[in-house]
Amino acid sequence: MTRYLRLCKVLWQINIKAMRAYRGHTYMMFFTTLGWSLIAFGAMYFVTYRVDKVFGLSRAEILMITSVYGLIMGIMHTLFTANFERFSQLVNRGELYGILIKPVSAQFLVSVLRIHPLSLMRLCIGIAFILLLISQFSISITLTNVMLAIPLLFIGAYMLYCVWFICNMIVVWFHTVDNMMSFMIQASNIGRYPPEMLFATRNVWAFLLVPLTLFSAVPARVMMGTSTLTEIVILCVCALAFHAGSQFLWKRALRSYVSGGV
Amino acid sequence: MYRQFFINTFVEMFTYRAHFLLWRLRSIIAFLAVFFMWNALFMQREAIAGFTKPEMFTYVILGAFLSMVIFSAKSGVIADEIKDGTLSVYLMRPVGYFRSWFMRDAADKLFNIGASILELSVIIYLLAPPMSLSTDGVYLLLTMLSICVAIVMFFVLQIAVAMAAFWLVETWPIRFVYIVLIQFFAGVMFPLSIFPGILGAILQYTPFAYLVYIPVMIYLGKYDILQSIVQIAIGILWCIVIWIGAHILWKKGLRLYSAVGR
Repeated sequence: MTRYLRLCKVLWQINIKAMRAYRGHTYMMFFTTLGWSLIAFGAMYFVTYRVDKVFGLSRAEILMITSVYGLIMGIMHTLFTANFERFSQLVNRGELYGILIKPVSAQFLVSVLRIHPLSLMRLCIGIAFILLLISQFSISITLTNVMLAIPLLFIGAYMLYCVWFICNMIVVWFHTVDNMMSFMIQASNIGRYPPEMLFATRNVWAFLLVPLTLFSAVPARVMMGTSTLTEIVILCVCALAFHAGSQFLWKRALRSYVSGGV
Repeated sequence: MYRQFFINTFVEMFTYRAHFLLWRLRSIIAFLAVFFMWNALFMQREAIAGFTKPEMFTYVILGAFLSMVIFSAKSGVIADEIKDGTLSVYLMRPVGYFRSWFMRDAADKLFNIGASILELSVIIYLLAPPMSLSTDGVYLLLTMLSICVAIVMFFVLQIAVAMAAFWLVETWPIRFVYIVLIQFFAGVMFPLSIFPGILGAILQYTPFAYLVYIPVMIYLGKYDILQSIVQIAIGILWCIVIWIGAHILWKKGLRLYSAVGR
């Protein structure tokens, strides 16, 4: 464990140095990240502009889910997005081989080799939006609720990581697919909305997407003190199930990997 | 000769089937998220921002169809061709660079029209949303005209944005801002009239509005015939202005072009 923490520290240092070396790129990333975060929040703000309540959920609650979604996506983009975007290249060119022979967990290296520290800005923007909501809608949030929500936020992020990882394994069998990450980010967008939105459709296809709404909805509700124990348990069970699925599929995928190109 | 560009693109799309399927699935998920959101918002009310439930569902479905067709284009790589020097190959050939790209885009759109009609038909059949279908021949004709304007508008916008590659090493931030503007201000997620006050009024006259919002509003009969013709005329005017701008940049850019990397 200590070895992995040391490795994480080194990876962070390398990536921060890379960020400082390419300053022009970093500045542009700063503005685009800021712009995208504002637009994502603004879209939901304007859509709910003429609405007070949807399914008993207040506008504040819906916007809180959107803000928590921003927080979790901040974690995802900081740690995983760049790595998963590169995964098809690793497989297609046979570069995964170089990672497999290293004396550390290959799944760990595949997932966090490239860190994007600037995406932490999304976390800051998400926190700023939450504070804005608290003041604008006079939401009462207790410290206990916040302390409970933080671990659930990480569980939600881990669940989303496992879903992304499972989907990325498909690339091992379909080498030419290079738009998996774009697909996953789009699919994760469902997390901006509450699960009630899907339940209301009474449609079995919509129910399939429910796990993708839990990762942001449950921590948001815990923070606002409106969640139930069942919701928390369902999030944890989903996270465990996706974790098991990702481990199983990773092992299966490695058996099929042929290291083409090397 | 230009027919061959069309055929080659078509064949290419059949070659990378998994990539294409994932792209389609991504579009379906994006559509379903917006559809379910509006479904939820209309559960307890009759109208939002002047749109009844059937009108809003028609807006969302037609908007999704138009975005799938209009935004599907191969010309997004023009900037890369300028940047890596591939443009030189085309400049030496006796073909119009932009005409060849227009034919590639046309093939891409034709392919996506087929796929979108199939997917949306299945979705409409499964979800059975209430819709407000127009049967007025004049409005249908005006809608078709506005869609043609939208296709040309998107093409000239693509070219104008790509021209930045003559001056900048990295064009992705500009493309990113451009994509964000399109996603938000073309009216794909929601009608632009939902924006409050003067902001909503201004946004309806930007070039982005002519990509999705205006064609759907014409179809829904939100404009009378004269207003529709005026809107189409403004759209054409925007196309001409952007095209002239892009052409000036192209001429100036070619003088600077040094085919770096070739």
